[in-house]
Amino acid sequence: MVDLNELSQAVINGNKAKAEELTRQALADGISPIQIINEALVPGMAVVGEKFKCNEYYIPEVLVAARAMNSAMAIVKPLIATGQLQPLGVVAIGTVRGDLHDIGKNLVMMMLEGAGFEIVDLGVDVAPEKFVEAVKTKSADVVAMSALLTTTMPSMKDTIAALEENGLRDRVKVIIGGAPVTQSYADSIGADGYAPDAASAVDKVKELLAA
Amino acid sequence: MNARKRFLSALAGGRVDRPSVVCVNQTATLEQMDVLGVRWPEAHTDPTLMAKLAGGAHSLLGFDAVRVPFCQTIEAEALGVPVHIGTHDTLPTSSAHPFRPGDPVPVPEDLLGRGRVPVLLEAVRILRSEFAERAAVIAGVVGPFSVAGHLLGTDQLLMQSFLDPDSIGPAMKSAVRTAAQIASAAVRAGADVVCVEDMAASTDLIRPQTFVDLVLPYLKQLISEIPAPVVLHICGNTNPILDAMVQTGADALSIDCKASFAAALRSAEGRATIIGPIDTTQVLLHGSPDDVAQSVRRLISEGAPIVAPACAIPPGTSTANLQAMVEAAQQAGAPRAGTARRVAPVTASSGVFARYDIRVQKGEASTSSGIPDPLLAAVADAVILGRADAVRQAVRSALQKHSPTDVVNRALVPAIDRVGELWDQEYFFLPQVILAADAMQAGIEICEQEMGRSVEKRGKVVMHVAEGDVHSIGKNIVKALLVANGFEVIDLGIDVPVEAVVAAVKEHKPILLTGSALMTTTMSAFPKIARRLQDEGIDVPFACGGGAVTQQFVETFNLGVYGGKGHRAPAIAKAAADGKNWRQLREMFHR
Repeated sequence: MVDLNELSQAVINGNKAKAEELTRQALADGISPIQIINEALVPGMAVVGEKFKCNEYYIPEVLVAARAMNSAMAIVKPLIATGQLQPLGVVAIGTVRGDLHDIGKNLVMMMLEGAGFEIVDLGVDVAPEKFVEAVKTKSADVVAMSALLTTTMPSMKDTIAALEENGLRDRVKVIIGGAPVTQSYADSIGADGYAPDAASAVDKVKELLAA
Repeated sequence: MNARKRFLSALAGGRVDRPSVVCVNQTATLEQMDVLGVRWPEAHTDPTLMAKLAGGAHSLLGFDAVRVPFCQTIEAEALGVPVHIGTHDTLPTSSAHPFRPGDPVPVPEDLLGRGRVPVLLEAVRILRSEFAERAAVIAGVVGPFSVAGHLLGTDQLLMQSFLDPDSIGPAMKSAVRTAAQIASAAVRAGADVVCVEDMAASTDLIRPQTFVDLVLPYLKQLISEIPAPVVLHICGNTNPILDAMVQTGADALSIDCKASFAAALRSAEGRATIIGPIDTTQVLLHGSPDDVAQSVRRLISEGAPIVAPACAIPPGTSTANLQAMVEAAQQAGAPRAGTARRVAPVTASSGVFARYDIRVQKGEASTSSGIPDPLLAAVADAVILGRADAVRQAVRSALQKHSPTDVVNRALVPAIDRVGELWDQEYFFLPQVILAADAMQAGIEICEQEMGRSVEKRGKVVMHVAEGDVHSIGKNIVKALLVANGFEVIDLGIDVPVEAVVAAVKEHKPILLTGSALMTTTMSAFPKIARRLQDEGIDVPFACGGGAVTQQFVETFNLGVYGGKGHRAPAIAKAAADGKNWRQLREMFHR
């Protein structure tokens, strides 16, 4: 019988081959895909998030761990019937217009996915209209925006304005982050939340949706 | 003190009239674009527009330096990375990453002709000729880890830095060669200072040990090849890697406001200058001019010799807020003697000039005075290196055996003469000349005390820079040489109107008048001055020099004597003091 803790550990260590192998074994042992996700992959990424938050892990380790998680996830996900895995919420995420930096956005995405959210990845250089469209068509609960440049930050404000114009602002929570972004900037543009790093972003999104 | 001198002096830990204000990262804003009528993205691809927009940092904001380029993609583009040029308010970014970890990354033979490298170099040339001495010119290059991020994709780079560090070696090596070549070409084109930005090497992205193992060796290599003072800029909280940043050999470190300025200052004490960071988002973009002034004052009180935005200026930043930086620094005035010592105890001997000395170290030039007598040689060599304390000590030793006059004439004067030559040959930079002149003065003072009187003045010389011209370096060199040779100098400064020159000559009755002009547009004042003096019946020889001035031109008007290169000035002045008139001087000194 596969030890799910061992699978968690493979994710934490970023050992992709081992994570894949243990996932296949777990399935062969009759462990359900949902159990694998909830008892091995999600807790593994949670540990990674904790280690990241306290500077034990840096971004390279998180990326490598997320790669291991994703490859395990790719094995189990097709086996889950639609609706069986109830996401905690739908997050439309993207790096704002003019900004092509995707690492921060991807980290947050991986952490949210690892924590059980459904992700609508809008990619980089995302115009305000695209966020609006995603909220409309994908029923997103949360809009998450990332900007790495002081030059692109103002686009966050534009997106919030576009949500308001389309009467969608009350339907979604808006969370922002990125190197130059601060809590007071979030306050000044009317965002609901700000997170200084990817691990905190998960806590913040949970907190906003619980409110 | 002009802006360029202030910044370069502050960078080298030297004396300043007030803290310097610059931005070592991109400086363009929407308001400047409106005023100057130049916008992104055109300013990324046209050298004239790039220079015009960058010039706003001095002409509109009042910063001590201008800085090109605006983006961080020129190196990557030259290596084959496709670039999106951006919009009026966003910067160019790499749009794909064509290399895989471990792939060789060929550096093109014609690198300096690739992509927008020629645009950058031409913009540096334009800025240099436009601002000359009024403002320093900073050329930016991107550090190897960030260029490798463009080449491989930053997520690949980061993962490989953890999984297989060797696989990023080829990209890092080519990035170093690329940035070193571009930086050297920019210095040749006229940049005073090179800023190496390595934003991806931040400890926000990688652990401190990774910086030490993987980034530091390459940055060291890059910085060792740049023949000008280097500012290293890394974003984020760099406190854990501050010591490693100092080890790169950079002359100054530009840190983010997420790092502690006070801690950085302590850690780098005596080894590198720390540039004080003003929060670009909270304070510059969203704060008021008062908030900005408060931040500047706090940094200055903590000991910042230079204050700068913590990172690239957000384009939406108001001109008022940026000008408030300069105003606050102006109000602060000169650093108090007590703080200056604590703040920037960097001296010539502490290695901050290592950068300037690259060509000297490579044997292209010698800082040795070549004087056979060891006691006098010790004095002269210390002057050339700008070490005032060593000069005092060496002068006291030399006085055991030599007369004060000999120490002045056979050690101090030849030394400053050699400094003038090194300057002329572009081996020395302004801060070294200033330090050498100070060191020489320290030696002169001791000799004067020994003689019980001032070194006898050989006569008065009135000096000026032509009306409309603000280039004072040549004049300052000549002044140092004349003072060293015992002449009393009346320095009228730069941009001096014809009438003011005439009035000063009438008042001081000098043995020699000098005028320097770097530009052909300003040297036309010289014949006017000569005519006005002759109208007044004054026959003083008028030695003219400077970049634009030729012997042929000087011979078109009476009184004129061609000064040639600055170090001929003492000989001309001596001959004038011996009573030679301008016609005789022409015979002696003209070809």
